[in-house]
Amino acid sequence: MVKHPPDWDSYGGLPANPDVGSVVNMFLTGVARNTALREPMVDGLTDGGIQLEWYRAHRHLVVSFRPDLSITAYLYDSETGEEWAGSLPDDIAAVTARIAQTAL
Amino acid sequence: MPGDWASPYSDDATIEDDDVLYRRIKLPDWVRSNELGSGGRPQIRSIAFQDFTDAMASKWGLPAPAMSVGLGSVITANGRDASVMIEHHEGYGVASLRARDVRQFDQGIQRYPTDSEPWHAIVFCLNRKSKNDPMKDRLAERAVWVIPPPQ
Repeated sequence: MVKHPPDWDSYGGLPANPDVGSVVNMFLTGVARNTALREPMVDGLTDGGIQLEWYRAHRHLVVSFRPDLSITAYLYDSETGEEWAGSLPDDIAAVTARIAQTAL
Repeated sequence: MPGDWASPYSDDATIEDDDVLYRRIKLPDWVRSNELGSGGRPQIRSIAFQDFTDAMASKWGLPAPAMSVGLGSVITANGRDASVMIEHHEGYGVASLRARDVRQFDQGIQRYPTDSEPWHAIVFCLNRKSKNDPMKDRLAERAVWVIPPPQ
């Protein structure tokens, strides 16, 4: 994703910011240390960020890493209607819990 | 802050709720190939409905982030069909939404024709700067394949 050419998505998308890539690696290493995560879908965001995404049945969890190095998480359960949003590092415990529910 | 956002855009009421909006879908990246939806076609992911960046908006002469679409009524009026969305774009499919689908989630639509794409339009947020994850999720749920990935 760092090597994506400009406009890689036909909508003016930027290549991923290398610093964001480093943060994603640290995040995955940290989270996976104690848990056996399923491999997420990893995508470049149009602004040069990176998104990790897991699905489990009706649950959908997205963790987005932005070029300003902010990190947000969003969970949606299409069956129950449960919806939750948080950010890191403030909501690290809640994010870890959602990952455990969705990405293991 | 979403609550503080004063959108520079306003919704174009001449675009009818039933009007079709076409969106290019990058393949295979923006679909869940192992999860089939209606018609046995792969589900479209929320990542397909991102707004472009401030920089890109500025380059296009737009005042704020927005998402590009093709306006079905104008495509038809030009004697074309949805395939025009992926002319010169290999590795893409086309999905459609109705104008009402985006309006339901605090989005507006404006025509933004270009020389090469007179049907070009933009979808933007009315109450926040750019689409958040719930908005993208809801749009992905409502999107319907028009030109699906080859099977």
